[in-house]
Amino acid sequence: MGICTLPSLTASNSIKQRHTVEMAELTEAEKRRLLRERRQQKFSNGGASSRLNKITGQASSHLNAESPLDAPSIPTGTPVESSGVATPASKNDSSAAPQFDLLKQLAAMQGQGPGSGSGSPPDSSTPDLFSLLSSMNTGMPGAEGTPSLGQASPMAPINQAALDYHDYLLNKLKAWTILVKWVFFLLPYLFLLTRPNAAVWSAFAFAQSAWFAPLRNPSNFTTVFATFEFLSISIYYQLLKNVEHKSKIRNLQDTNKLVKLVSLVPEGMIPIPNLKGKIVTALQYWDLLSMLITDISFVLIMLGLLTYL
Amino acid sequence: MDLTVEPNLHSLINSTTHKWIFVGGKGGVGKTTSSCSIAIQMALSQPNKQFLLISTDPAHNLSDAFGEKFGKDARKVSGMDNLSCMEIDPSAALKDMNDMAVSRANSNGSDGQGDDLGSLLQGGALADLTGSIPGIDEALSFMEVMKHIKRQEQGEGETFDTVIFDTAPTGHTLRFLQLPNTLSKLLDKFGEITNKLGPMLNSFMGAGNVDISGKLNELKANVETIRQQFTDPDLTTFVCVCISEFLSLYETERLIQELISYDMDVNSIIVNQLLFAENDQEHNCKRCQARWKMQRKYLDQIDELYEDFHVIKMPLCAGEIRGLNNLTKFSQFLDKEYDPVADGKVIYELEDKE
Repeated sequence: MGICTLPSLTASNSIKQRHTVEMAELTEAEKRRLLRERRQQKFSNGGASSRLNKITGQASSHLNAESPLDAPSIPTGTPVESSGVATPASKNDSSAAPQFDLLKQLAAMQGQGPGSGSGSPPDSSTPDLFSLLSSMNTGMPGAEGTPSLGQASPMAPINQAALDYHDYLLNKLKAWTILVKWVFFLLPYLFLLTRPNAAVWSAFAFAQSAWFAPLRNPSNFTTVFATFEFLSISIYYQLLKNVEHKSKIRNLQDTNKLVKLVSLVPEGMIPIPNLKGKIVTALQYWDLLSMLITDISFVLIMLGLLTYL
Repeated sequence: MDLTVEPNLHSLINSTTHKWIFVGGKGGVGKTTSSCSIAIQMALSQPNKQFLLISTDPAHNLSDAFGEKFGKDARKVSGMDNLSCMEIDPSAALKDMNDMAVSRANSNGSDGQGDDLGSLLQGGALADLTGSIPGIDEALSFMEVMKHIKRQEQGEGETFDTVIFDTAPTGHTLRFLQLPNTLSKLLDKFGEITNKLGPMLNSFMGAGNVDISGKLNELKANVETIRQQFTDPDLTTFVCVCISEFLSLYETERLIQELISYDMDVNSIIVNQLLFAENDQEHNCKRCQARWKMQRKYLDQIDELYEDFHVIKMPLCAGEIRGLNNLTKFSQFLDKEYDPVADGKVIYELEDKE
């Protein structure tokens, strides 16, 4: 009869001994690497936010538990241009060139400081990090080549769909505005002016009331028309801004050739600050002005037709 | 496989590869004491190497910690041959650089370049630059610090093998590590502009016919080199300092996550000001017992959250840890973990600083 053994205990002990032997065989560097990987794993795939949640949850705290590691990488609050290329905020956009010029010149001046000449050999102890920047002062030839960035990256399908939908909304708003203005206001008004005694007005008794007398008077046409245009264009502009605000898309920035041309000009070349912004504002006002011109054209044509017929 | 992690900094103290050690955390947790302790232990364990402890906190504490005055020039700590200290204010250094650049620009006005630089720097253009690129002010400040270290080495005639940074509590010290990514995007945009305009841009940029794209790519490459240094775990590490309270634990976790987002190695956490009151049978202070109970609650959380980190538990001492002798006594527990039973008397043995 053999000794009574506990096979499970013996087996677990042998597993532990094997692990200990494995650990002993690991070098310090390997142990550090394994630990680093374990740490990184715990902070990835939503683990970072859950850790913060655990900390704040146990203390019943209202502190923010969103982790920067789990935040989406897309830039927030950046309006997507209607041409389809997402660009940084206009502040960075318009001042990127002078900023880099400043950085380049500052780095070059650092190279002129004492004891940090560009000719000094690299030091193996404290890395000569600043002489790396000062070497820019020597006017070295360009690097292996600038990356070919002339082409804009292809727009993601979801953004293009958003832009198309935005364009659709704008066109729809414009169409409805014109339809309502022309059919429900301008045309009846012009008809009332040119044919105040037409039989059709008998169905609209209010048109014959004293309240409508100023409207029936042709000498008030300019005042009435101007007031109407002012109100309608203001309402249209507000509706336009609402659409832009909801979809976070700005018009005119890159679809317009003039704006594109102006954005190529470095800041400071033309002595007008924020030239691009001024051009965009002018184009917006031109959009509204063109609506007024269209309405005036419509009025002229309709007056001609109604007078002739 | 169960990898146990030692609750001390023995491996870091005896490390021969680390060049840059950052010590940071929120205010009042004992960063300066911890950074001084790390520096002292490293200097004692590796007497053949030179160490530099540098404070970048505008509210400098190194002089008070050691009880002797340090300035922006590195000076050896009295009683130690291989440890030097330096206090530098990066924002002041950046301002000096700006002022220097402006004065140089004004004196260079005759060659036509001065107007260009002067008009850029004057009127707060540097502030505009630093405000618009995240991390740029930290990068420029840090470069100024690095330049200063370089000057010290050349002046002293000896090089520093390891530099320990006692950082400011703002936590923005290493924000410049994300600068290469930011610069990449700006460089890409600028490359697009230069590609479209071509030689016309060079003619507008003045004499010298500088290859702007090349220089900007070189800048990006150089910044990337700096970043590679600080993201190499064998060269650089960050030691977090905290206390065992909720807000400190929360801030430490956020700091660690931010450092990980910068690809910075962080594997050590020092937990300061622990009471270990359960072992203090002699005094049995009711307040200390209650406070220790609260600390234990967060210590358990720390042990659970940071099981793969070196968590070093340091005691709250009876007196201030000031002066080289007190710091040396205190710092030994970074190398060999504090045992409340065996080492309990040490916390009462701190000498009164005159």
